[in-house]
Amino acid sequence: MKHARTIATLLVLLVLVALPFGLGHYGYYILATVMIYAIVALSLNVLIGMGGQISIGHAGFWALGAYGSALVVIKLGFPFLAGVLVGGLVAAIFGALVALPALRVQGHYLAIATLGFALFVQQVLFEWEGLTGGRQGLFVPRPSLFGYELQTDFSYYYVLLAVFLLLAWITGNFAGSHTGRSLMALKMSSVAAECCGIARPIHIIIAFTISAFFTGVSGALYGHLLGHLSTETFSLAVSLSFLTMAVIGGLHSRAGALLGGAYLALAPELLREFKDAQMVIYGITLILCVQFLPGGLISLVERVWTIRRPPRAAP
Amino acid sequence: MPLLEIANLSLAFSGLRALANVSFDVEEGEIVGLIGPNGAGKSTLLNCISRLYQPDGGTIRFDGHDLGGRSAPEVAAMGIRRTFQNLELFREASVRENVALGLVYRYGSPLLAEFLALPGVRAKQRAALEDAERIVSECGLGEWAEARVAELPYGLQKLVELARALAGHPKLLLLDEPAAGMNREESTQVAETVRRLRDRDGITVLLIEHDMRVVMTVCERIVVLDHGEKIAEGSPAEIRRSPAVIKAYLGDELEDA
Repeated sequence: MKHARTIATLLVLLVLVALPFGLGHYGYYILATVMIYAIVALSLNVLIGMGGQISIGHAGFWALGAYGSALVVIKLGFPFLAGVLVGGLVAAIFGALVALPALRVQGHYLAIATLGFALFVQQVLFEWEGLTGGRQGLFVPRPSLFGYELQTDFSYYYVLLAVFLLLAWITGNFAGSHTGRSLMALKMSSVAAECCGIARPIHIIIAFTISAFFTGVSGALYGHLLGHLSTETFSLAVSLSFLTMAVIGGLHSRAGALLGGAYLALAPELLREFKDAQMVIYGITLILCVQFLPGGLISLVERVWTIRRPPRAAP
Repeated sequence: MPLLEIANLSLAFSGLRALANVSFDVEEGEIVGLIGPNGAGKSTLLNCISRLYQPDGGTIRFDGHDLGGRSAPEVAAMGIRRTFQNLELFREASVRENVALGLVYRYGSPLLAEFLALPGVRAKQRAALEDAERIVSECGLGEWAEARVAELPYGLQKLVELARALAGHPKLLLLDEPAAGMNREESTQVAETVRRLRDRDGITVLLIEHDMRVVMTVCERIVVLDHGEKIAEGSPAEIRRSPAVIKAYLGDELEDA
């Protein structure tokens, strides 16, 4: 069992490393976006999958990360990786703030509060012309490592893959940690958890902060991929598609986050001919997924996987 | 000094009186029963002690500390643990994980160290797991350690809740109808377990129970509530003879009939 998992993980890694070979520039770009989206899906794994919280405001954290990183790189001359870290931290600070309403409200109300946050961020970035360029937007330099500019998205893809793997590793550690398990306990029964000595507020704040940090890092990385930022990139539709991809990929699995990222990056390419009908197809996919595949696409993979192994002895 | 001092406790839900001026003490190492007809306010009282409800008036002191203004997790960390009338379990988790969650708060690590799974963090996780494992097997749940709690029969689920409460090494254990839904043999076992917890581990117990056989055999003192008021307090023999108690119970039965 343990061996099977290790082998599967190694195989996935091998495929991820080999993927770009034989592709062109556009292929590299798409693969890069897969990783960037997958990091957001990881962040929603933590927030929704583990924490049981909802957010329709992740485009806000994404924007804060993107602008935070771009600005310190352009105006203060930070190196690329430091900029990405700053982007994540800026988003994380706002994540902790957005957690505050989550301590009071749940479900629809929280969804609306996070939605309001994202609209607020987008509007402020748009209006604050002196800092963000407003309508003109910002030109963001190419990513560079140790003084070498990453000229192509081929090499950038590997940087993104490394960041994804690092954050996936951290997510796994967190899921097994006492804090992570306490968070999941609160989701299962907050009354029971509190009577076990587990305080709800701090755990909800931690969940939002981690989730916002990851999404901020993703946004920062995205800015350097795009080369140009404008506030239109961070619309309400983006928040909704983040939520969709995380659910479709699977909210309880790191591999599911990867599938979610692949879905969000590839679906528009595959459905290009459907033009405006695309949104209808996304909607239907989401409904079907929630209805028949609550564990997301990854649960299909896991199902096939388990059929081929003898079932565990019943208790 | 009593371990638990309840003085003039009152609570109303939107005008409906749930507790009115209830006062009694629980001495360290005592097993006290809380009985009364349905709706007498027994569970409400337990919820006030574990701070799931904030009382409108009166004080609760535990180990000399006023519980006013403290949260449920703080009170749990002080050594008050409980079970629930209608089970509050982590249903999707395993028996072992349920018990482990009862004690993880005592094994905290810095968050950044947890992200990186540093050796110190892993050592604490192992220690917590061993602690949980020991309690699981002591409670006779070893066979089901890996099983998902939702799949277990009711009696075992109640046992998991008790094990989880014990994982917190409580000074005071609050049991809300531990023998509910059990047959005679099982409820005798519950009574024996409660006795053993007190005799061997020195745990003070306050328990709500409808099974009079259990209450009368295991409790040293009984507090009777009716319509949110304390109507009697005393030894099992005194309670059995108390006219107020007889009236409360018989009156209740007559109304029901």
